[in-house]
Amino acid sequence: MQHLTKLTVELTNLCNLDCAYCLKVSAAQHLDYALLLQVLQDAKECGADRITFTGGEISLYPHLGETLRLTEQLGYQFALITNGWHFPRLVPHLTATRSALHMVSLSIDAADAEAHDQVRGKGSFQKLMSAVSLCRLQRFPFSFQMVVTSHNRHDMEKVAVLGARLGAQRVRFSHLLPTSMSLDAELSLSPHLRQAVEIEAAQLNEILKMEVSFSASRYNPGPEPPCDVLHGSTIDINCYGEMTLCCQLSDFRHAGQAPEVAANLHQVRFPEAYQHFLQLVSEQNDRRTAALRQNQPEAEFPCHYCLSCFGKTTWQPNPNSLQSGGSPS
Amino acid sequence: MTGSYSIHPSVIHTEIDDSMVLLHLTTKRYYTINSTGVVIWKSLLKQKSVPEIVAVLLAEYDASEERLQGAVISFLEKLERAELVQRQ
Ligand code: SF4
Ligand code: SF4
Repeated sequence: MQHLTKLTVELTNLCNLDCAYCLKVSAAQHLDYALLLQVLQDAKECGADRITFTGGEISLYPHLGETLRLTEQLGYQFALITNGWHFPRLVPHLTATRSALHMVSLSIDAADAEAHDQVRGKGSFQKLMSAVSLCRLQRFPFSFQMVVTSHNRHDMEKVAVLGARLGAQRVRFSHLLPTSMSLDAELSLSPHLRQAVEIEAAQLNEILKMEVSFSASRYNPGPEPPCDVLHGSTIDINCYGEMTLCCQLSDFRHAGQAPEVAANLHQVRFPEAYQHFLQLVSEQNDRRTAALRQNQPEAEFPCHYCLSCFGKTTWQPNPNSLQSGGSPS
Repeated sequence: MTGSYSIHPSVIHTEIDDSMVLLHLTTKRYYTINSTGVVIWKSLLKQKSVPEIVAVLLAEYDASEERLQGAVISFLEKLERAELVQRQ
């Protein structure tokens, strides 16, 4: 088990867009700023030195400027994930904290306006390209991240080439984590196709000078922890002030339960919450190892397996669900 | 020259402070233009002709009409060579 190195912080779940496949609960909630200040200090003392700020849309967080300044003062490096719509608002904050800025990660769904806007709404692609222009002008390192679905899987190469030609540092693909039966049926790839698009990403990585990679959602049949979270080195703080196992499970749309919550930081001090988190990590690693030993194919896609274990895919038969199998202590 | 120009449909402009960055989505090239260029670009957005653009600049800058016309034409020709605008 590694030690704590990184936080993922959901500053808000408010968003100006309404992507069909969004994981996040739609009722708006901002992370309590006083709690955030405490968390940033506590996590630093526990050894963390990197933060990824996520949403919702981070530019809608009312305390973003102060948050980024404090992040820099405390000696963190930070990345942020944004849809780019309000990027001009972010520019002064990012310029002021440039020395701590590791990456601006921009969400993209296709390499052309028509297909991208079909997911994210009219005008989104133009806003995204404006954000790219500003990153380039200000010399902010930027990357693209794209959720691969049945609709856009043939666009992977175009998106990677677009990123490379625009000067992105990286294009990272990930698999769709479905939030409803209809989305699952319409957009998810079969396990076979998931592996095919991962091969496509690996080939693009070979061809292009820019890094092309796949997130931890990729096929991984090995028993070793598949991600930083399950190594115990990355924790998630959600917009309710809870420490949770993973940002991909937390605040999950249509999920009736939240066994991924390690502790509410309004009530439990950070070091103690981290111990609860490590307990969740250890249990999930054990569960996955056992499932792999039993040749459960679902466990070979670690993020899908987590969704199943933590009760997020309620429409699927769920032998792994903690609800039916007992909740973590 | 009294013609007019239109902005290439593949160009995205983003204003920041008193300058502007242009991104041509077909060539994937970026260009930065200064404050005078921004005035000209905004005039193109309003579909103004070259004489109309010169008139806009005359109202803002203390320079002769002849000099401004030369500057506008030279700037538009540069934009045209970069395929950022099209002559109509
Ligand atoms: S931009 Fe991101 S947070 Fe906003 S609706 Fe789309 S997927 Fe959700
Ligand atoms: S969902 Fe599970 S496997 Fe995927 S990144 Fe999170 S903890 Fe790791």
